[in-house]
Amino acid sequence: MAEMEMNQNREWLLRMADEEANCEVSAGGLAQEAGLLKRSGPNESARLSLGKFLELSRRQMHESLESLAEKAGVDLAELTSLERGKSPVRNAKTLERVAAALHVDVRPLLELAGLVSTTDERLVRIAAQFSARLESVKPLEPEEERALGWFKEQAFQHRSKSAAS
Amino acid sequence: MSRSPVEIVDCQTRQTVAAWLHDELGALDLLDAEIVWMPERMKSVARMLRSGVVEEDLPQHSHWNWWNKAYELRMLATGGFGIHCDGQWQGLMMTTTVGHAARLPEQLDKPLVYVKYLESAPWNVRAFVQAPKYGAIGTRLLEAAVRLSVAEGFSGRVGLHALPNPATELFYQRRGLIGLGPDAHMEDLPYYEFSSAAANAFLNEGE
Repeated sequence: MAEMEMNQNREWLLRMADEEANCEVSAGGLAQEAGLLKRSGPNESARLSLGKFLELSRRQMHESLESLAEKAGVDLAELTSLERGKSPVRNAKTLERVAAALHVDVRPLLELAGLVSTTDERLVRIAAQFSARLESVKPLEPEEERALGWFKEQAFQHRSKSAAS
Repeated sequence: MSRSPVEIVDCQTRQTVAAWLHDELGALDLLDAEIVWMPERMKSVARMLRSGVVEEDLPQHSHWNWWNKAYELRMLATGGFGIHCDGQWQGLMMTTTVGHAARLPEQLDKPLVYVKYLESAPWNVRAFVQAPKYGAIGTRLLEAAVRLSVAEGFSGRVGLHALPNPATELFYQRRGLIGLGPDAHMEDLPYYEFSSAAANAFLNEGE
């Protein structure tokens, strides 16, 4: 490309520098194209395993969400969100406090939460196995049986009647 | 590669200093800059974390690792500009003239220069250092994008996706670009565009 004739007004340039001083100069198109915008973090299944582990450990200690939150000194909503495993874990301190209250090592939990990087393939694998093992095979409770029957009746029989008519 | 003389601002003395605007850079030149920029960014991030800044408040691009994307970068068609001073890249911009069209109603579907990447060296960014070294880097690179647009026959039209934070969007608003809101096809990055009239006003203001 031929030489570019740039603006030479120094007062303008100083003003531009002042205006730019408190700004951040960036554009994200290339980063989006290269896949850099997504923060690297744990996958959802690792988070769900973490949440389930916390819930079972709490119940094993006969603690309610409220009582554990109080013991750990964390916000109840944060603890609930951790156990649900739906949203990314942002605060390592919360996880550290909860782990201390449950008397477990925080390190693998931080890895599952994606708050520290992990190269431990085994941890990822056993977290998946843990989740799979929690898939219940116990017989349905009577209320569950009734609810399932009602849903089947409403959803499937209604459709087959509509199809027949 | 060719280069043109350009002045930038020494933030400490508030004097203008001579620099060079290089063009025809490729995406891989970004990796060369990163060899120097990344450690500086990491030092700043470590300092911020030690002083209690939480992760969400770090500059969004502070964790980007372009070196992890070297292969993808090599495959991307892009051209670029860089400002060189003091033996170092002070800012870089990557642009393309294909694959993007204007979105503002008054210039809808007309060709434009699309800015894919724009960044100042970390030592020029207040988010990373208390006393930035050189100023007006972003303005100069944006000026180069507008001049490229004029040279290409695009009448100064420039488009880009900003990072979604007030400090970034403020920069484009102050330069006269119009924000068209988050772009669902670009992970909700806010889209900004220079109309031909606003771009030419920006150029004329500095003449």
